[in-house]
Amino acid sequence: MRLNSGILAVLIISLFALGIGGTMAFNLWHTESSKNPVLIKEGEFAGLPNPSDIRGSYTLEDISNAFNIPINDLAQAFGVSENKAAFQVKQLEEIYENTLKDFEIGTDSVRLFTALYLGLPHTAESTTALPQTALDLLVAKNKINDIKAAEFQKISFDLTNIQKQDSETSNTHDSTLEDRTIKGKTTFYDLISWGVSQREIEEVVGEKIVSGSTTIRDWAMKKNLEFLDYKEKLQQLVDKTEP
Amino acid sequence: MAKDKKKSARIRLVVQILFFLVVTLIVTAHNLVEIGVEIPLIGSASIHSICPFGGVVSIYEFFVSGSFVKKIHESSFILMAIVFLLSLLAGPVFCGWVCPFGSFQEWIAKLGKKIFKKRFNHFIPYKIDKYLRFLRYVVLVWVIYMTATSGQLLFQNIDPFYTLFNFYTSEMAISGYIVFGVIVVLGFFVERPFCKYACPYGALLGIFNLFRLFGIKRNAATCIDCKACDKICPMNIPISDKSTIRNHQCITCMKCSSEQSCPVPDTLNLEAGKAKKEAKDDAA
Ligand code: SF4
Ligand code: SF4
Repeated sequence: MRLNSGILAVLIISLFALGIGGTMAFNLWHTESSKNPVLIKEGEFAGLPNPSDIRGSYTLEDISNAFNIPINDLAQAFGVSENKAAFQVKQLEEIYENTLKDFEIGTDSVRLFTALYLGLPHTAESTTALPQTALDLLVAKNKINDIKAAEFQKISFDLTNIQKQDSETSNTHDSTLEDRTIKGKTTFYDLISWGVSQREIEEVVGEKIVSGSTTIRDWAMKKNLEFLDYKEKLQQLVDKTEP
Repeated sequence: MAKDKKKSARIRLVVQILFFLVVTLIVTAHNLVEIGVEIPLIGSASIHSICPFGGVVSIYEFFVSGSFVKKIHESSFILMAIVFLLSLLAGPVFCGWVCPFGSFQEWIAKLGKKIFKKRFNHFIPYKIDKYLRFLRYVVLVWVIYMTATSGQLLFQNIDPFYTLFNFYTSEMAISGYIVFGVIVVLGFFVERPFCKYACPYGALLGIFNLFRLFGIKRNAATCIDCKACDKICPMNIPISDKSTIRNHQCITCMKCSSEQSCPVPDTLNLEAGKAKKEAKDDAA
């Protein structure tokens, strides 16, 4: 049996057409990411999906499916209000481009959030930041303890008013407070990051702290309490800790 | 007769142009989508997702972890299967008919032929050259090893195929431009330098030459030993003393065949089954 150029040409084109068309018909033709993160290969978490493998093209729905995290938690953490399922995490990079001075909110932020949410390992990049809403959600859902919360507060930023604020002031924990003095902008997290334990704070305020990112003044105003009283008491706790 | 020969050569050129255009269109659409411009009706696959070699480097990762190497998708696996099937039938037709970078090098060769005339593609003595051709297997092993251990497409940084379609994007590494430049310059002296010495995918597909179903077969009984086939072969394969071409470098371009260069009809063909000479020998 012999093939000439004409037959060979037809064979080549039809094999490509049939192969691609056929797999398309069975919905097997995907030129986008497979959306299945690799599994962790070794150690305690071997066999679980690896948050470090989340890619920019993953949508919140993909992550929700792959990691079994409610889509609403992801959306709330990253402030996505519309079209949640189809939101690709790389869009975060565009939305928050240049909003933070030395930090970035992007795909790696989602990796970090997912890892913290599930207690899985992930080494975030040194410039990766979290939205404050993400950290609040992790705390509210008891996904991380207060020591970790204080640690991650350093890289968490309030992005709700980002358009109005520049990157310096968008930082809700007032990192400029080198003198560790409680001011109107000081949050409960700031206290924790200064070394005061959550339990000590809760003893002073007489209740559980629900949102660490609330400023102490806002909390007092909401409760109809005198900010200055609490400021003084909490300041004493701060002063007791080593800087 | 001469008209038929030209027609046969033209058929392959049309297929080459077709695939070149399709790939250009798809990759351009992808790069435009990245910057927010969408071309309607055209898919926006990245070059990785439509590169069958991506499927190859991804095999290891796929079986170990059930996932693809970063940037490689199911489509690469499907294309890989199509190309393997074609290769099983007729050898590396992908190289000779489909690969846009192979076609690109062939078009540069047209200029090289104009400049160097008969000397083009004959600068390196074949005695040495035939060993140099095994270099691409070194590249193949290296690429598969590096990709499998890192899970990243490291070859992208030097892949001239990638450069050809992405030279204007920010994803380009400087090493990519350098390798590309070297290959273009070499292409004026040697036909398909990348295919011959460096292409890992060509290396892999070349293996199919050893057992392909339809092979280039010479009928020794009618051959007049004019060596026209040897002279025309872009891969410098000695054809006129073989009954079946099993050389790992053949790309099934059909240039040697009686359809195109061999002056004797029905003497050099792409055929399944035993070469005529061998068949006769068997009968005897
Ligand atoms: S000229 Fe013949 S032997 Fe040489 S690559 Fe083309 S088909 Fe193969
Ligand atoms: S071109 Fe044809 S006739 Fe001439 S040597 Fe090759 S096979 Fe024989």
